[in-house]
Amino acid sequence: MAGAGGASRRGDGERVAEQQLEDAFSAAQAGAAWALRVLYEELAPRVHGYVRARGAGEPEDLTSEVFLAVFPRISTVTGGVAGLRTLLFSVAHARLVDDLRRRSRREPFVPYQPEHDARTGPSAEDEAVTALATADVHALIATLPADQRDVLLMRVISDLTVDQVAEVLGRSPGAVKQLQRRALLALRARAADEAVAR
Amino acid sequence: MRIDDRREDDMDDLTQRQVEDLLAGRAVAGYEDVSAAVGVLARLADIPAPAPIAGLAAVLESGVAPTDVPVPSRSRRPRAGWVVALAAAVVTGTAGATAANALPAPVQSGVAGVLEALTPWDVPRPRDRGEGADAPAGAAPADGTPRLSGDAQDAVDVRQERDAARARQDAADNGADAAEEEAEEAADARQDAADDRADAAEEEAEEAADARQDAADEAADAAADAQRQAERDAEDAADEQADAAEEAAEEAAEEAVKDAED
Repeated sequence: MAGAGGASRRGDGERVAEQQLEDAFSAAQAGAAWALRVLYEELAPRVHGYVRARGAGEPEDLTSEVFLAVFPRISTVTGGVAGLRTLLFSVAHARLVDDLRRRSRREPFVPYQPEHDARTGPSAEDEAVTALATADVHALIATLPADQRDVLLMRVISDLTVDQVAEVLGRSPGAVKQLQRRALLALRARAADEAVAR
Repeated sequence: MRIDDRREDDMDDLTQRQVEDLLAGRAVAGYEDVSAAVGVLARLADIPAPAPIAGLAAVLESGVAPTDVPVPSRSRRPRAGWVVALAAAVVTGTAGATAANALPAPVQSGVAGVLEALTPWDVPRPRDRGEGADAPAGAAPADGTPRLSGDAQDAVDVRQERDAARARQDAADNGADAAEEEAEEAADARQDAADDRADAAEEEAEEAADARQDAADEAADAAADAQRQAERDAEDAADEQADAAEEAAEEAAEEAVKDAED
């Protein structure tokens, strides 16, 4: 998954091997419930991470809704696991946009606050330091324009290639490459500003 | 130009290869902060899958029957079209109800005024409803059907008016949404075209730079080869001279020995 499409972060370590995932995808298309479970366990953290980082109101529920929308149609998905990923994040992005737009009419936007997230772990000092770092990064990410943020999060958290991100966002691969580059440059500039401010 | 823009332009020195390295979590010199931030982001996916809501839990438990339901595309245009169609239906329905003189009196009066101002249609007013419209509240209509008391009728009218106002507001909101999405799409398209051009120019520049580098490398290689060859030639010449000198010395020594023997 290298080359023009951009490299993937996936390795052979903790996650289910890609071939096993392809097998699960085939079984799920044939109606196997266990395979749906495998796909959910493997792909839900990335969907959840993306919608959470983008400020979804109820990221857990939104993640479930995305899978609930996609799984009944899994037999029609083409392109294997890559096709499933693209479809999942297309639905996730669409639901997220709706969610953000709906909430923007009703309530002021509240950025993600790790210290209010019960899953940021125990209250050991190390965890607090990690949470602080996470908060800093979220504050940095929040300064990016929405399209740069989407591209960056989809490349890093969702583990999508340039071509997949382009398909999900309805942009061209060239545009995605430029956006991710601008995002990284902007992050560097913001980080430098933060360092000066400290 | 904003300060931030200028700063980003000044730092505009990331190649695509470096971009991919950073996104993959590999270090790039001078971008340590960015690399660390990307690492923090990547860890957001390193959590267990969240507990599914009830509906999804049931699907994960029992599976889904294979289906041929087409997957709806996430194109904005069909959604915008749907919204416009809904708005049109609401407007058409309201206009139709007005033409039929079927709306509550206050609404009928207001909408009729708007329609008559905007269209060539002659729209009935509440007073055109005949004796039933002008009859005092609570009086039985001409067809003999029971009629609500005055207060109850007023309450129904108010509710209907509120519903109609809400429908109009929804239609306006939906129309605004559609317009907003259209504008976003147009802006995205323009941005994409600009980005594509920038990307193509960048790739072309990178290719040209690569070609120049290749040419320079080849020239350097050729110069190095020539240098090595010259050195080899010089060594050979020196060797030959030394060899000739040795031979001459040997010959001279042999002749000296022969002369001595003679």
